[in-house]
Amino acid sequence: MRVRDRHLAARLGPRPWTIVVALLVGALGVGAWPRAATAQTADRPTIELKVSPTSATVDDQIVVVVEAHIPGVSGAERYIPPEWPEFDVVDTRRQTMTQMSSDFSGHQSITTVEVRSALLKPRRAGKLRIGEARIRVNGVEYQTRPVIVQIAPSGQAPVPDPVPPSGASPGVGQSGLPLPDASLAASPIFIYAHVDRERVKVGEQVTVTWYLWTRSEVVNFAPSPPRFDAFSGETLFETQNRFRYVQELLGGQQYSVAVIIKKALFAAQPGKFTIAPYTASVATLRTMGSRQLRSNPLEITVDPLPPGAPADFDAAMVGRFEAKASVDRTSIPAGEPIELTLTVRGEGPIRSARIPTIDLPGFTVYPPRTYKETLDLSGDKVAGTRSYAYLLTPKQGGDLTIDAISVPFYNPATGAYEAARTEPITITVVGVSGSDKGSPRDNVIARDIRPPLELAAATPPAFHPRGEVFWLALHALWVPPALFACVLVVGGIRSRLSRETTRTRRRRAKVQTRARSRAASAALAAGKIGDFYKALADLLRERLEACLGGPIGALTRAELRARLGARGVSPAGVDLVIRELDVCDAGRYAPGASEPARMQATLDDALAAAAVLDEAEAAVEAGAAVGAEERAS
Amino acid sequence: MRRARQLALAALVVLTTCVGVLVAPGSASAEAAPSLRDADAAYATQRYAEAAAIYADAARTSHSAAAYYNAGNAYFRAGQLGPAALAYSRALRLAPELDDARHNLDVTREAIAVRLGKDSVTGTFTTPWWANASEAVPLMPLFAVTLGADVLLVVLLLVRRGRAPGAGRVLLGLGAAVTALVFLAGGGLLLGRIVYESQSDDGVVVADEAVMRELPDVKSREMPTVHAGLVVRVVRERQGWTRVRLANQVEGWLPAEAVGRVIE
Repeated sequence: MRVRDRHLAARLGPRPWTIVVALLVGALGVGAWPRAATAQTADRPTIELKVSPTSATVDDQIVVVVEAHIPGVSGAERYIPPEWPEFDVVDTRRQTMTQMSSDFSGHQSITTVEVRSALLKPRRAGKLRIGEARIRVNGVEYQTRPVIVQIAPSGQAPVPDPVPPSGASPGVGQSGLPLPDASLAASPIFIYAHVDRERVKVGEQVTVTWYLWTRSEVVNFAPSPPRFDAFSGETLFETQNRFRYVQELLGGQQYSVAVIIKKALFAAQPGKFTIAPYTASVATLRTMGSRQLRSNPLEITVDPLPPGAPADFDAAMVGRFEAKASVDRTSIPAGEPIELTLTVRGEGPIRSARIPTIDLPGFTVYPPRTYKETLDLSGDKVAGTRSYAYLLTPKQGGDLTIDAISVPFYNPATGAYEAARTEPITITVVGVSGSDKGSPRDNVIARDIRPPLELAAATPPAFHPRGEVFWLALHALWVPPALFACVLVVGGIRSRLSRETTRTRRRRAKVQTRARSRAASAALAAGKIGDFYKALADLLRERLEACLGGPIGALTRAELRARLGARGVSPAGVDLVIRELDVCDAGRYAPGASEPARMQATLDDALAAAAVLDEAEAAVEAGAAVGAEERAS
Repeated sequence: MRRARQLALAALVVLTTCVGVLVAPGSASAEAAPSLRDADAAYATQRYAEAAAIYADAARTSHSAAAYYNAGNAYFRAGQLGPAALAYSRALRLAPELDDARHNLDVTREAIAVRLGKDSVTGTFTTPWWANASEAVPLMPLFAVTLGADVLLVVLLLVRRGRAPGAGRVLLGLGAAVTALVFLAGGGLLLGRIVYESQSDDGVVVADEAVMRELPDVKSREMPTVHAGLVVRVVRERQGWTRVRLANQVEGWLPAEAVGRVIE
């Protein structure tokens, strides 16, 4: 089949049938279980006729899809296609599939799904009719409703779909659900928030519904509903285990739509309020991992109630109410109380209502401590019943009348304050007039508690002195001082170790002497005369510099003798040192005899000279230490 | 070189502390998610008693103010006003800034007064000034400031140690002194909070009505009757009885199940 229509080709691409069939299969895959579940729950066939678009030009092509769900494996006995005399049929397709599904209790069911689609081309402009599609199952006929398609002449823009008269929403889909803006069709999945009214009075119900629109099956849904600080509310509907989808078209795309939650909200005060977006983490078959969805926020304007409220008007009584009163007995002995039951029933936020204060002439009224309450959340309006039990003690005997009790309320439908009235009740008090008993209690305005907090999917442990986290974190306080103390200790130890003391100097001197001695011995063993005498010369030089406290390179022998003498070195020791220096110089610069024995003797003499110098150095330090002690004392 | 070592050591101090603090909350990790979801689902479908039990259990394990708050809501909806008041009190003890809990506790007390009557107990319990001071500051920011001052103090001292004498060293010393004061103040408040928590003996009457007795015996002389939501001080416990003190300093025994401690 060639696609002649450029608009459809532009929307769907070069292979529109492939995409249309893929969409159908995908939609069936998404909607299969819920639709089968619906059939299981309903146990009867369903048939649906969908047309897209419903507004086009004579050059466009129209897709008509008839989808029938029949419990069982047999399918429909007969299919009667819709009549479309003003269209030419371009192509038709048919697909049949069998689905198995199970409900919450594990009960399985089989459903046959028959999908018949047709591609039509209008013959003329105007309002063209596509008739009902019918199927016959078990002798019973089921049919759809006809659809009217608006066809504009060639070259003109298609007439936009008419806005249904009912709602505040931009449009209403074929299944009766409110349609969001068509621009959302760019997204394969989104949450759409819809409010039935954007402007209400204080206490008047506003119904907010959050819908999930998706083009593929949802496998995980983790919601984060918003809080309603300015509203009290009741949940009218909430999906528990599995979404129940209906099929809708938006922007030419097929979606499965399910209600996530529907809430009835009542504002307690006037003003402009924003209901925050409903967020959820969603995973579908098509996406890898979860994605965060955010619905559109909603703006609601709450107007104050008009002036002129009765004195005993309760602001929670906004809606439509009726009242009934009854007594437990109509004849009582004097001095005994009777119980008056006041029942208020109606639509409105009755759960927030106060206990009505009633004043009955001729009676002492003791307000109730408690009340019985039932709520009806089955419809779209919050309805309920409250029963209050008052104790009345007559103030006199005889025939008394309990006057009609008036419970004022504001009726948004009429915009006026009305009153629910009971019928008067006559009782008879037999005997002497009674006396007052008990004591009145205060009437308390019944405020409601604020809603629960949203606990994260994983509640983090509290940070509190009774929590483990606190005590674990408290350990972190001693870590920095402990590290600082380590730094101080380590620094002190290093400083002590690197301090130059007599012991360290002497130890270092010994190490140096041993190293030079080893070098000389190694040179002697290797026959390296130059290295041998160099090692000895270095040894003597180092010892001399340590003893004299400075370099000796520029000193003559005479100066050296004088300094060594001043240091307390004995004359024999001085001679030994000088002699060894001369021997080392001769050996280095004028090498002569290289007898090992002689060289060994030279080594021994050099070590002896080094020992003399060490002794002189030690003696000088000991003298210095004594002097320091004497000065200190 | 030495300066570089000092700075490296200061960075190590900061890093070690941060790792220790960040790892600690993760190591004492979170509640199993399904329990809280079950509780939320039970609450949404008006199975309040079931929701309250799950929330209370989660709160007890995690010491979460939010979980105690939700438990309070569930108890309230289930009509158990005494346990609701106790749960809200526990939430406020963990998070005094939780206004919703304070509001709901007020509403609960109003509902108790309507349903059960008001207790005519005069007087108030006094809290030591240092306990008030320590509770006035939220715990997490207080801890963060104290830890920050601790780390900053050590870093300043380390850096100061590596500097030559001069204006910079003096400034660092002044900074270290100020930081030390902040650390001492924060540490003092933390210590006060810990001591107050360990010594706290607040309780709340959870039974709708309970008769105080002179002795821990059902046959002993009756004393005033107390109602749910009344704040008491727990003096001691013995064999199924709890001795409590009211705000007017009257002491008596109540059945142990009629009183709940704010600190579990």
